[in-house]
Amino acid sequence: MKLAAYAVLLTMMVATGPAQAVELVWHPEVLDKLEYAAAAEIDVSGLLGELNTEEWQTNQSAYLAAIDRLKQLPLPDMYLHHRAHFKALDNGKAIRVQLVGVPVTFNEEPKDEHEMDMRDRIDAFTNAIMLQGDMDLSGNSADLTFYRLSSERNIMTQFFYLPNGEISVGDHWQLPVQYIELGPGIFVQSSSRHNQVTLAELKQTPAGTVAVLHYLVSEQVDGYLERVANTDKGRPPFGLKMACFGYGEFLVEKGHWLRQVLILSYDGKGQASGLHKQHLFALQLKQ
Amino acid sequence: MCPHRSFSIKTFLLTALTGCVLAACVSKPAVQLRWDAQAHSVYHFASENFPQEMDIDVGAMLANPALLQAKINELKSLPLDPHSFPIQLKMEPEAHGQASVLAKNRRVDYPGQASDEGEQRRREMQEATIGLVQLNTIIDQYGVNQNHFIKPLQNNLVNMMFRVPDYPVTVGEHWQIPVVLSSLNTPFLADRAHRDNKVWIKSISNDPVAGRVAEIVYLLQEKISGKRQHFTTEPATPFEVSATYFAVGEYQIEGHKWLSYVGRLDTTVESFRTVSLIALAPVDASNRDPK
Repeated sequence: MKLAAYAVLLTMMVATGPAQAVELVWHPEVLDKLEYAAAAEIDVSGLLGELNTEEWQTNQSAYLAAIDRLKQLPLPDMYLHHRAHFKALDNGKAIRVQLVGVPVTFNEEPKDEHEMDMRDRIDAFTNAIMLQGDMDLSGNSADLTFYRLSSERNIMTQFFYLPNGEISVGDHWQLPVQYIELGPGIFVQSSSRHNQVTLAELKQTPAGTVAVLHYLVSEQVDGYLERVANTDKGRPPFGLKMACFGYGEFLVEKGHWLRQVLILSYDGKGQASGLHKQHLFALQLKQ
Repeated sequence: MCPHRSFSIKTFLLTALTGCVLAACVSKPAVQLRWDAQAHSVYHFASENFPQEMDIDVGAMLANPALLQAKINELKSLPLDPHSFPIQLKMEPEAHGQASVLAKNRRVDYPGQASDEGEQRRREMQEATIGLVQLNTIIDQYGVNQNHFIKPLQNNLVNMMFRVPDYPVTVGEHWQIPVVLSSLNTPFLADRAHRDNKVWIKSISNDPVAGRVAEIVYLLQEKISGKRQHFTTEPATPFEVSATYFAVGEYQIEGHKWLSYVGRLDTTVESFRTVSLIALAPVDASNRDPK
């Protein structure tokens, strides 16, 4: 009887096991041989419905349902019209990434005006380098391009920032980004920030261990706009919410993304009420 | 006990003690710079184009103290009239030992008629934009910006004018300020980037009225070069961008405020050069020896 109890306990311990710890590290020696299809700032407004990022901060099942919805979002060539190339710098201590526009062949007429605009944009930027950045790989994936526009540094950080040290499922960290930037005429009365990237799962696949990361960053401000005294139009309200959510699948042993899909959303109120956008950023490893 | 040993220990201790006393006398005293969050301060503030010729070579100035001093003198003797600075900057106490910084365009009483049409238009524009907010944030006692959503341009201004080390510093000891002068977008593909960022107390003098006054020097430089895309059939062309910031401030250590601050931001994008003045002058200048 006692032996059976020990056997059950042992089985439970083996089944549960100690939490597996992994280190997410870029492997620069393989990166420069890889190619990714990439989407950068593709307008997908309305495709995913409203993003309730405040609710997701406390309602895990709603958050996971939203991640699942995002996983179902088709990623046609029209979205993935960039290629991401990498080049090792400084003996592999840093890496340069370039997102280059590639031509896309369309066999059908555009469905609507939005698609027509997108096709024009693809044509205009074919072979152009849409983004270039250098990342330090020796420490914490820091962006070395201090001179870049902050919105472009955010994109680089979204793509490449990985946490230092060993992590286990459930561990989380912050993404060093800042989305909202307000001019001096906007007075903030209330604000909130949530910034969490979580190691959601470690999957064993034929390609090796895949670390699934879930992203949820939300910044929100509410206040008013102070105008020039002479115009005397009072203090109209102003509100802005920016959020980044999505997932990434990192090949742990190989040291690079399998894919990463993020949505950056903008929602304005008051003086910014015309602002409602959802932009797709994605990397998909080309086999 | 061996008398020789006793003698040698005594000699050693005496020598060591004398050394410590001498070292303490010779070593520079450290000062803690900080803002007084309880004080109400008002400055006249300028942040505007200022095409005054002055060659700034950061490397040469850092290597040659005489050249640095000459440039400091040149900067301090620029023909500035604080009464015509177009912005009023107020620092007022906030909760938790912090201070608000609010800068707005103000009414300027010009001493005479406008010298030309351009000056007349500038005055009209100033009159039309009285109250326009130029800076709006909260800082802690070390000038650390508490407004996380501030735009980089305003963040630079806050750090240039208010950021001080949160530890005591000695004369000559360098520190850095979190300022990025360049902001390049997609067409600019950089191959090389370099930056210097040095701030230090050059000297501390004693003013009979203001007390100890620290002369603080700011010398920042960024140089970026590479290729510029044109998004046409035209091939990419080389580009070079450089920015320098050179400023000198006189900081009243016990009063926790600027007695004067003059800075010069010089940016060149390819061949297009702009020079801006960043200057602060306390509205109540009575806290200074009138000599």
